[in-house]
Amino acid sequence: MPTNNLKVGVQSLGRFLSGMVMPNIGAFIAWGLITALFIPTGWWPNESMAKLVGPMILYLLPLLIGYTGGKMVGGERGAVAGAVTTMGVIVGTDIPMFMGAMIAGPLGGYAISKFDLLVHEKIKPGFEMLVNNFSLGIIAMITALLAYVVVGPVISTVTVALGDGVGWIVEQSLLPLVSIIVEPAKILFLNNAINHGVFTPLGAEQSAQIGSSIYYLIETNPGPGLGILLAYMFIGKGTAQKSAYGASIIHFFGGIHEIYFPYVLMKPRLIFAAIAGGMAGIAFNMITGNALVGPPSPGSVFALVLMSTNGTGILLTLGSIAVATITSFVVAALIIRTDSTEANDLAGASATIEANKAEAKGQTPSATETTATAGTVNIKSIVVACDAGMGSSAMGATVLRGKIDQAGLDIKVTNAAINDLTDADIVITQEELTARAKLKLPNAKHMSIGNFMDASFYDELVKSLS
Amino acid sequence: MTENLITIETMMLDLPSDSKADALHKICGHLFLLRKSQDPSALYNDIMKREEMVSTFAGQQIAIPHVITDYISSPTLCFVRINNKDFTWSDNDQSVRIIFLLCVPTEVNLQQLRESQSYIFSSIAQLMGNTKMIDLWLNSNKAEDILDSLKTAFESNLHSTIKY
Repeated sequence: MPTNNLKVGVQSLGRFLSGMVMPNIGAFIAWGLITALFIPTGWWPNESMAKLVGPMILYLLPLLIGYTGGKMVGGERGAVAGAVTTMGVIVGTDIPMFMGAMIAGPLGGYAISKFDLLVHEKIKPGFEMLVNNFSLGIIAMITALLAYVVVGPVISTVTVALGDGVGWIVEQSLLPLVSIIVEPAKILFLNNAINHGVFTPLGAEQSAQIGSSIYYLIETNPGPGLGILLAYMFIGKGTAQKSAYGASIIHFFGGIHEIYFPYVLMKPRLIFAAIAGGMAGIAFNMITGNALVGPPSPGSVFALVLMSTNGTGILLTLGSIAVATITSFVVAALIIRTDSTEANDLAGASATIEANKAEAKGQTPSATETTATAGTVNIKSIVVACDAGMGSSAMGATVLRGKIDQAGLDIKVTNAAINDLTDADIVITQEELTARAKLKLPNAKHMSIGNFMDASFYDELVKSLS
Repeated sequence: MTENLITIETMMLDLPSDSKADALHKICGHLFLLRKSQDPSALYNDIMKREEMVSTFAGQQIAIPHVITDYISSPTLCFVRINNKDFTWSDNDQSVRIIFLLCVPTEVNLQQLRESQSYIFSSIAQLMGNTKMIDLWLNSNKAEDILDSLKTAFESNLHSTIKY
């Protein structure tokens, strides 16, 4: 299934990119607020305070992305190597190096993780600290130089080319066409990947140059979703109509766009309403020159208003939401009214959404099991994880390892601290820790156990794996 | 490597105690007297912080509190038998008579540290599958016998059975 493979590939890449940006959104917002307030065209212009703006966008934000990217690949040491490597791309250019950080950070993390793998258990006792510190220093130095000489210039060229390309799209007044890609992708739960992996870095670069960016408004405008929900409220029937009221509040004020996705899946033709709404909103912003100073996250009306430029910015932002909402509403109302199938299976659509969401996170649908049935094939590694990685998990892994060996299965069973999780097909944690483990290793299948010495849980798991 | 992990001094048979907090307090105080910890109060806090995250009750009347902390001088395992049949760990149904407390000093490479210490509870998990062993731990008055049972398992696991 090449299409499915492509989708999974895009989702994985998107997930990786957004994984570097998402934890740092707070820093982006802090920068956006400082920019909105203190730059010469801000709410309260202040030359002294505005000095924060430049260093934050040029150094802090790329370094945070590089640090996080390094951490995702190589743990704590990878994070430090990632940050040092990112400095290589930062100093080699005078533009904000977000794309460069997204490459340099993981590169540093990868280099240090490979080194650690190579010397694991080969360091003489007593020399661990010396080797650890100097290996990190030397490897990070090399990757930083590499980033400075090779990665930086390449990224600069690519960034300029991309900027020119996007500039051409804007000049030709074609930017609204991106909705044709963005809106369907959102329904497939690629919204975070697109927004934080593509538009946030692009927006930050543009915002650094001209103080605000239209890219922040492309994916985050709640108008298209709101129009669809309003159409259900006024034209729809049954459960969908009744539930659309609550959903619209969560969507519009809470900024949780995922809530309207089931309503689109219920009547897939509604995707045209979302696209039309998105295009109308972007067109409105292009015509009026409206933009935001920072990324609104989540895409709530409050966040959008907060990130608006001063003067007429808030009115224009509200205007763009209104235009997107009305357009989406009109198209959605027509579709719902002319739909003869009367399909109204919100529960079914919600189930599809769960599957999409799980897939977007790299999990099989219903990836958290409270019972010990693996339900998947090709399991090669199981990690029993706990907080410290040497107590409960060691005991649980021992019990499970014995049962796996007894069943003659070729599956590696290890124990680890949740913070050290890097790769596993199945991760078993105590219920209280499963959420943390999922954050650390979203691709794995997660199982919760009450007591880590519960033999019956492991028996059931082994049975399902046999 | 396991020689000083657990010694006769770190074994407390028939400790009078009526709660988890009380027992852990007493054990930390004991480690201070043994000069294993310079700050028993901070050590206790670190142990409790881990306990608050999720209970270390292991079943079969055993609890395995454990912590990586700055307040212990070297890896130390305590074997403690509680002299109170009504003693419970976190919930009323978590009846506990034996506490294995493992305290490990913090190191730069935490992952390596965790992996190097995993053999301890891995060994205990294996021993818990043996009812005679549990019986020995619960009833023997000879600390040496209990110590031998543990050390033999640790030595064996340290060099052979744990595979990654």
